[in-house]
Amino acid sequence: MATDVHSPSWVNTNHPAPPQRPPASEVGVLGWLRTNLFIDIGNSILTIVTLIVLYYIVTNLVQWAIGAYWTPIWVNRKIFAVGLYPTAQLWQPALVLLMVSALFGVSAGQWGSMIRGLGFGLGVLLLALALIPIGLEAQLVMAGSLALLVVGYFIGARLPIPNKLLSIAWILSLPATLILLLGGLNFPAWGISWTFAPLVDTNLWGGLMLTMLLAVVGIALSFPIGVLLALGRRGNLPVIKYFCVGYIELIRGVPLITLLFMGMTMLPLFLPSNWGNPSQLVRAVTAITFFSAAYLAENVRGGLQAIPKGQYEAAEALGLGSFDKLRFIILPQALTKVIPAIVGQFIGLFKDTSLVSLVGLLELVAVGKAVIQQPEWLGVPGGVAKEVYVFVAFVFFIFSYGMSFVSRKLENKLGFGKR
Amino acid sequence: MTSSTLAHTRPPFYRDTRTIAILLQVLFLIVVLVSGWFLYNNMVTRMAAGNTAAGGALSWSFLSQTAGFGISEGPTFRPEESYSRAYLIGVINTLRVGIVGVILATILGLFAGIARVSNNWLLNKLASIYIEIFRSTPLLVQLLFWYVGVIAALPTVQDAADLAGIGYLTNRGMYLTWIYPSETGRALTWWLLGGVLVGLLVSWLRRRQLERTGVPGSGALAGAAAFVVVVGVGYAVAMFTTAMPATTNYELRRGDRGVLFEDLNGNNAFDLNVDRGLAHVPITLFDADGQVIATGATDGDGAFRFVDLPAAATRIEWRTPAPLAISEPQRQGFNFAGGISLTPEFTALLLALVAYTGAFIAEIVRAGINAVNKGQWEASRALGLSTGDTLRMVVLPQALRVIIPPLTSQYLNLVKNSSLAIAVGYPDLFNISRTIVNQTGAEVQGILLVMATYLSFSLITSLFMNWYNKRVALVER
Amino acid sequence: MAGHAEDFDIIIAKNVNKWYGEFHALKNVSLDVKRREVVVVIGPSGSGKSTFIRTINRLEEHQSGEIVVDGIPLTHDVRNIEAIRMETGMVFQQFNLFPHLTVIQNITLAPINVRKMKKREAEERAMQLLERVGIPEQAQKYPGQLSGGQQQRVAIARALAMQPKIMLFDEPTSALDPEMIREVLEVMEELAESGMTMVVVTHEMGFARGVADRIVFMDAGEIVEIGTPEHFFTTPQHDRTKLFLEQILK
Repeated sequence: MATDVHSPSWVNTNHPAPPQRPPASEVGVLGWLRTNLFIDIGNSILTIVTLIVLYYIVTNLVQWAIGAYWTPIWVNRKIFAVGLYPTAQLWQPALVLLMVSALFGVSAGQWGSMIRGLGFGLGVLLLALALIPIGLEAQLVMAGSLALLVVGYFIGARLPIPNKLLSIAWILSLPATLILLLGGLNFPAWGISWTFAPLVDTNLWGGLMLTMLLAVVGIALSFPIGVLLALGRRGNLPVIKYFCVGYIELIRGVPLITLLFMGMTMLPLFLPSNWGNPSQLVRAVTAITFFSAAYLAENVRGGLQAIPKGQYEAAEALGLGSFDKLRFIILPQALTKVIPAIVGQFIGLFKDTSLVSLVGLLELVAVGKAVIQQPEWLGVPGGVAKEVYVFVAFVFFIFSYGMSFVSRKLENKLGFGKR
Repeated sequence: MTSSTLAHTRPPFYRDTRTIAILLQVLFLIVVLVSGWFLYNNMVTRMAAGNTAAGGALSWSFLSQTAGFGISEGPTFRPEESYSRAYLIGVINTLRVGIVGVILATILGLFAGIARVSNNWLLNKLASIYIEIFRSTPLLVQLLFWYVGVIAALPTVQDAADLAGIGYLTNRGMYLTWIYPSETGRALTWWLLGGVLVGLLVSWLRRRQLERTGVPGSGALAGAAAFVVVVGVGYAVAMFTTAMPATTNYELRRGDRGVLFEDLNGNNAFDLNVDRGLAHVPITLFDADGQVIATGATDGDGAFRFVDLPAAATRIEWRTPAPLAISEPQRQGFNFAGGISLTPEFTALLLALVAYTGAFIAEIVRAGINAVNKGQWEASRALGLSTGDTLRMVVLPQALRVIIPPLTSQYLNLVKNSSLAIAVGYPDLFNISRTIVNQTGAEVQGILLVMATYLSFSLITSLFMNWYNKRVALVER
Repeated sequence: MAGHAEDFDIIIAKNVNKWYGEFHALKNVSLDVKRREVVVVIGPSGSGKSTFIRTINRLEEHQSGEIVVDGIPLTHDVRNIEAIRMETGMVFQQFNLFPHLTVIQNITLAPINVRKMKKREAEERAMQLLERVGIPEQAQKYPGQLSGGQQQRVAIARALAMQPKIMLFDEPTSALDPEMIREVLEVMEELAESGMTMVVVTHEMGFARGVADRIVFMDAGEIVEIGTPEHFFTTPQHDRTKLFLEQILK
């Protein structure tokens, strides 16, 4: 019923009116297209131009991908995965993968949130690798890891496992990984030599395994240093404060590659002569650790700054000492706040490990370079560089994007991003 | 026991809050010094034991020694020049790729960032795919991909791809038409500099005048006009007053190549470190019969070279050039001459840095725009401003305050990341420092030099940004 | 308490001065508080009343003058400061509960780690305290899940868990919605009746009138007037006090 606009008083007797469907141009496919692509003339032109650009890119990419020569990657898949690690001893990295998968599963079940997201990503990856015919043994390892991940998840979700135990397991998993990969412990300088398999020289470690290891070890070792630096910088002892500021700004002011070269050439100089020369891997890890610590310190400092003064005061008023105050009150809160930032830093470090290829370590990019140089592919017209680098980029992309995706999802959900 | 006596007992120093702090710091200092001494001592011992190459002692005298190596690009460098000059070339090369990279990455990032907040779904998604791909893969892989995968696969010089008349694209690099100041335009640089100063002064005066009269607007237009006037006057002055030097002379080598120079010592021969080459001067070549066999121009060093000519030239003539010369790339045998050439190394590094940093800048721009209150959009819509005007005049100026700090750190990252040049052989400061270190064994000095250089970049940038931030903050009030 | 005479002044402040840079925040403040006494400090904002009670447990350092708490002089001696903080509980305007710990963990943290109490014992005591402040059912929740009034009551329980001899209250109801002020004041009244020595900075004149043994009026960093509630509210002496009361009781 139309409103009688001319009468001085009017009552809508039809009230309440039943809702009507919006016009077809506002809903469904048409409506979506209109509001998202063709809302006005400028937008329509933009859409068409973008479409043309997209068509050009996509057709070229597809054409290239079909015509590309992927054999070098398939043939060298083992080297891409673990470098020159002896084939007969591949059960050692396999054990590491199984161990990490199980830990991931249990932690995902127990802690949920971000670990669950990452664990899910790991599961998808393992499933894909178990299904692709990369080799029966490798597929079995992948399938086994997947099984452990899933079983671990249910155990973690059902059984109350103390957080402390799980944290300790994670911390111990790092030296365990190194010992497993080495095949034992060997420090001739200190007279320690214990092996359960032929020792594998760290120069043989490589591929994705080394990339992962460098990033994980780098962030793990830099964590305590970074926290101390952040506390020092936030503290009120000028000498310590300026030392920390100096260190952080110095490291953040120079490129990682200068530190890597410095580690390679100068680290041995700094050690007593009777210690011998540390391996390439140790030198690289040292450089990465000192680099990462400065950035971690800045992230942690952000978390410390976000803690209200009242928390310090309440802890003091209760009589907690400086150490207890940090341990129970300040650090737990500050570190929880900076988890997303630390994940972001880990992603950055994961990408940055590619630089160790420039100082002679055989990580993913270096493997790629070596594969391109293999004499078998010399006859391939145009070379195989594009294919190899696209593959390497793809591997990095899966991990970096996967991690940042999980992190961002959770950030939104938990409101971490809000300040 | 009474309070008054207790209150005055001095606690032992290790329990006194005033001394604990000092004690802790002294302890810390001792630990730092002792470990520093330990490391230094080890280093000196090892160096003395001959674990390093010769010249390991911490001396800086190597800087003035002859370098003995060539540098493939950047300002002219001859192997007989010193290490310190070689390093300086490296610094200039870093700044070259850094400054161009920063400008291009900002443009790319700004567009991609705006596309990321666009309500056009397709454009939005396209930008987001670009950002995610380039942010989630290592810069080194991207660099190698551009260098080995893309540029090396470009056509050879013979089949160079023609870039619509502005230049050529080949696997030996990019060749572009460029404008250079010629021999008579040398003073233009000073006029340009003067123009900038006068422009800044005028725009400042104009702004003050506008503020006093209460008229809205900025002094930018007046400043730009002043700049144009100064440069125009400079051009006219250069055009009508500058002549070729009276002692202009030339030297022909093999008939088809030679050099045009100002004969400063008057011996009729070109002496490398004494006489001055005359840049971008048009010349004509004559043979013994007085027939014109070729025309062309000298390059930036006064040298000229013709290919595929019978080596018959005996005489050249030159004309006074216009202050600015347009130099087009021309095929010469297996290479191009003239114009500006971008080596594959420079191009790959620039491409990689721009594409990578652009993706990060895009995210910063997006975050900055999103940080501006939705109400600002609505308010300017209500005032009848178009989307573009809203973005340009209302949103971006406000977003700028959020954008600037992370943007600065991206700029610094770009400059630091340019050290990856070593992966493709572009002679930036780090790459050259490695060459120097390999030749001299001055490991420690080399590292210190590089670190000090990068740190001074950071320091200068942050000083500038502090100054800028203060300005922006003042505007807010 | 053992070792001390009953009539001993539990807090003695003598000529306490504090500066923030050039600003003179406390000017020769002297105050003695007797055991079991409830002292309410009032005054306009910026009068130094919060600063004063925060000097008592060294959240702020005074630059001159003497403070003695339960016979322990407040010097630069770390041991003395620790001892005083164990004797005094404090309740803040913004509650300052630890958001990452549950209510029961908030309460037991200090007894376990400072007083070295057994975890079981600390939890039992915590439950008793929660019952005393009326929210035993909230023990396993996180502070963020509680209302402001409930949070402040947890904060009181947390302070009491250290078995302090003195409780300091720094505007405990100022950050609360009006309907929640009552529940916190009731807990405080109960506490006062139980014989706790209390120093309370507050704007709640009802509480001051009903519970305080003495009222201290501060202005511009100085104590202007001290008196019993009756005396204070009915026949204030100083002009500044009169003006303040006029404004506040309008």
